[in-house]
Amino acid sequence: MKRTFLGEFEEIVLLVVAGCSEDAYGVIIWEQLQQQTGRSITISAVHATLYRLEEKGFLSSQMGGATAERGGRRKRFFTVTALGSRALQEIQALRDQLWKAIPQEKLQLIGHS
Amino acid sequence: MKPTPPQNVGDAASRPPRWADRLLEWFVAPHLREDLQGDLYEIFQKQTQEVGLARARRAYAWAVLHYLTPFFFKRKPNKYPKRFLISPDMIRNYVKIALRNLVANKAFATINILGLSVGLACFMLIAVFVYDELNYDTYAANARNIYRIHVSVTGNGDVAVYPSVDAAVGDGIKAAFPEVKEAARLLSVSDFVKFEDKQFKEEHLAFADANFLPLFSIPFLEGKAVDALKEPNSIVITEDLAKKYFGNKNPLGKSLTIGPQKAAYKVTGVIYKLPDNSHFHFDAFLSLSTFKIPYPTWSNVGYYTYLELNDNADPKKLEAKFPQLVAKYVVPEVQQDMGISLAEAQKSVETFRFKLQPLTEIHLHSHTKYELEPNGDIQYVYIFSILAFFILLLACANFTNLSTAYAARRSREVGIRKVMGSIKRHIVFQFLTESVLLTFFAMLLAYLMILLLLPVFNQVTNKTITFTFFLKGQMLLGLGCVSLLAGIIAGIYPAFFLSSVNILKNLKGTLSSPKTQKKSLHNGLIVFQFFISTVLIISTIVVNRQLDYMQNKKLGYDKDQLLFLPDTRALAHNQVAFQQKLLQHKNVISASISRNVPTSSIIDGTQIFPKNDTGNGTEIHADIFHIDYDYVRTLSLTLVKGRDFSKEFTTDSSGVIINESAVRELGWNKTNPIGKTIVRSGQAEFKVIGVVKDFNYTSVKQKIAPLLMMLGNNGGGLVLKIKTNEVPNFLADLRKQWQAFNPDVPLQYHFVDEKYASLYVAEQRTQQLFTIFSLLAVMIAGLGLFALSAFVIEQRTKEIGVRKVMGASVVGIVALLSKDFLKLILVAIVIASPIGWYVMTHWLENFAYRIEIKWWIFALAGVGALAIALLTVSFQAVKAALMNPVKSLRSE
Repeated sequence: MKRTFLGEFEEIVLLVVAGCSEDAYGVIIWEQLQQQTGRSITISAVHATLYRLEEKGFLSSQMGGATAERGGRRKRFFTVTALGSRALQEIQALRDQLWKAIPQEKLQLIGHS
Repeated sequence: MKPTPPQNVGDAASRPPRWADRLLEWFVAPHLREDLQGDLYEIFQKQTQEVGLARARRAYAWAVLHYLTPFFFKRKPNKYPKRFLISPDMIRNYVKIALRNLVANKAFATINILGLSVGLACFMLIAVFVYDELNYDTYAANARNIYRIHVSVTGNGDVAVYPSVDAAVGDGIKAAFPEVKEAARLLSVSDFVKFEDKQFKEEHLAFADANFLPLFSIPFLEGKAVDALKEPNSIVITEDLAKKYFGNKNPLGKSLTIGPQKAAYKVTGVIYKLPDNSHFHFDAFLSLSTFKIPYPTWSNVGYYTYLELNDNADPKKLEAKFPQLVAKYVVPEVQQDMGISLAEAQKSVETFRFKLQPLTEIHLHSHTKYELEPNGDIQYVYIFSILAFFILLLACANFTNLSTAYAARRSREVGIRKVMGSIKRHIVFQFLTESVLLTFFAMLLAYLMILLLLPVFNQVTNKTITFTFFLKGQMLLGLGCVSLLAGIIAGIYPAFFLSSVNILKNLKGTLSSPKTQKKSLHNGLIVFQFFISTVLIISTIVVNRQLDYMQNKKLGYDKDQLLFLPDTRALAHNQVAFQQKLLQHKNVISASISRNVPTSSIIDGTQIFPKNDTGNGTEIHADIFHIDYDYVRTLSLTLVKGRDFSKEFTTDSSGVIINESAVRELGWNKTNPIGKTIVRSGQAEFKVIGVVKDFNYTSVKQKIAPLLMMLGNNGGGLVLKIKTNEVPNFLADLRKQWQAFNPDVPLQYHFVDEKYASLYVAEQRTQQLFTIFSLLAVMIAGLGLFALSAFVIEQRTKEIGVRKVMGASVVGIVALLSKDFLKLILVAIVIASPIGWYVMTHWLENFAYRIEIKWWIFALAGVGALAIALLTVSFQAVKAALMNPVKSLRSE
């Protein structure tokens, strides 16, 4: 199995993009991220991660939807690619597998019901 | 009225900070910029609503700063690679292609590099020469505050300038003006120096004040500078002299005996050899305090006196205050000496002027008869600077010409390059790389040439420049810049010319046809090169003729087989006996006791005035020769009027023989000077008994000055006229005769004609340098023409083939090919002649006795230039004309 390199933050960003109901672009993703995680995140970190994910082929992007408040600039809409979905699934599978490997009594110790 | 455009007043204010926007736009890679900035704007607008403008702006700026990371800076690799001009790959490519081109055109490259390196080497050598000349006497710590006192004496329209003054002047000035810090005197002498059994005549000795050596910051090897010359009978010697007399022994405290009087001088210091760039090079300094001068005077000369001024003193203002000292000290002396009225003596304030000569200007600007050493000349510095510049220009012109010619061959290459996507700048850079590379090789070769030529150069210029001088960082940098600049200048024309031509034209190769615009440039450069060459040839001929003229001029005396013994004073009262003894020798024609001989720089002088029937005439300065009854005969001087001194006339001790110049200047042109009276200082009167034809007793550069020859007081030297084919034998006899008188000093003698030749050493150097550099310049021009004609003729190979097939003769073809070039040379000669004439006329004005510039000099130079051109061109032309037409028609 080919390993996928996804950092924690990358994974979250990728998940947020996947989970966006509307067209996902920088500002929306940023807001979603802060809401979901409750962390304060700089927009530049989000941008850097988005572009990096695109470079890695987990995301693809399309330009469009210029508005006046953006100074006439277009948005970059991100969608998760097939590679991206597979990577997410692999990660989840791996997690499940690991979860299952934990013995019952230890699970209780961690506090998992 | 103009309609005002709709404006949103709040717009500008509700914008994010401008600087942050600018920063972002500059920093972030273009492919990310749009959406990224859009997002930021969106956030900004939202925040403006939520938290207000000010905070939103701050937040915006803060957010922007977060983008300053390499990730956002990194530009996206372009799908179509950018055409980088100066990327390592391209530079490697430029150099590779350049090297290949050089190897492919070996002949071209060789000629080009050779020409340029000769040019560069000449330029560098001359630059060093000029630099050295300009840096004389800068070794003294306070060099720019040191001045030498000159005195200029006006008499009868002439101004005589002396670089030395009287004993009292230096201290007198120092006492009178507070801005003068130091005054030091120097008296140049030559004498016999003896230690134990070693005895030599030392030509370069000097008596100096105790503060002289510290003034010039002369470093001491042994002893202390401050008090070395304080005590009477002290001597400070150079290292070399110490070795000569004392070997390896420590010289300090030992005594040297000096002069026939055998005065003992104690060595109190040893100094290094004086710097090369000094205007004096003495081997020893003796304390001037040895002489007690009871009544130092002001109106004579002899003491070279140097003043050090305060930092902020103005030499011009100080100079303007000197006349008050003249009035105070010089006038009474003149009045007493000449026995004239006070009013008459007051005139001295006008005619007797002390001047300040800056130390650093002595070498190039002081040209009096009485310099400590022959000085350089600022004119030669100018001439050689111009020469260096022209040679470099010539070499560059050559380089441009050849590069252009050969670049035209590569028209197709340029075309293909353009088709393959080169932009103009690529091609420009390619050509510049090649020419810079060529100049770089040329510079290396130039260094090699310098290494080889430096000994010759040093010998010719009498300098001691070492090769390390050229390896100094500053020098390397400077020359590197010159080379780079030369390369760029030379390469820039072909580069821009070829790169700017239409691609189609490039590919068709129509550039190479002889009817393009670059022909005028080629022609212009050839004319320019030969213009300079011709000027140089003309100058060389004139310089050579002038020097020949000076050395072979009828001097008015016979300098052949004339021998001078400068030290017969060692014989004291035996001088006459020695003379009589010599006269008995079969080879001696005549002998005269006199220490004055032509070419000697030691000449007495005095102020005289004629005593006429109507009163006294104007005062003039005259030189004095102290002679005996045999002098006129020994030197074969021509008596124009009157008679020689004779023992039959007892009154001759107050008689005088003068020269024609004296007759003229005393205003006796129209009358018979014989029997007239001359009064000299001390009111002594002399009767003129004879007039000799003017003879050049100094360098021909100087006009013959008025001269008095009188009997008596003549001991100290001996002039000998001999006639023999076996000079060595005679000299052996002479030495034997000398020893017979037991003089205690070795015999010294020199031939007057040899000494005469040595007066022109500086001119001979100039002549040699000039000849060499002119030759090189002509060579560079010749090389250029050679290569260019080869190129042009090669392009006409087919035409020549066709002509031959149609029946053209070899001579006809050669004439056809040479004609175009020769026309250019003729134009160059026509331009060069008047300019050469102007320049050389100017140069000749330095000489009192000079040649005329005749028309044939120009003809000769012209023929010379033509001959060089014809030789180089016809070599190629004949080769082309003799070629088998079958071959030439097949070519291409």
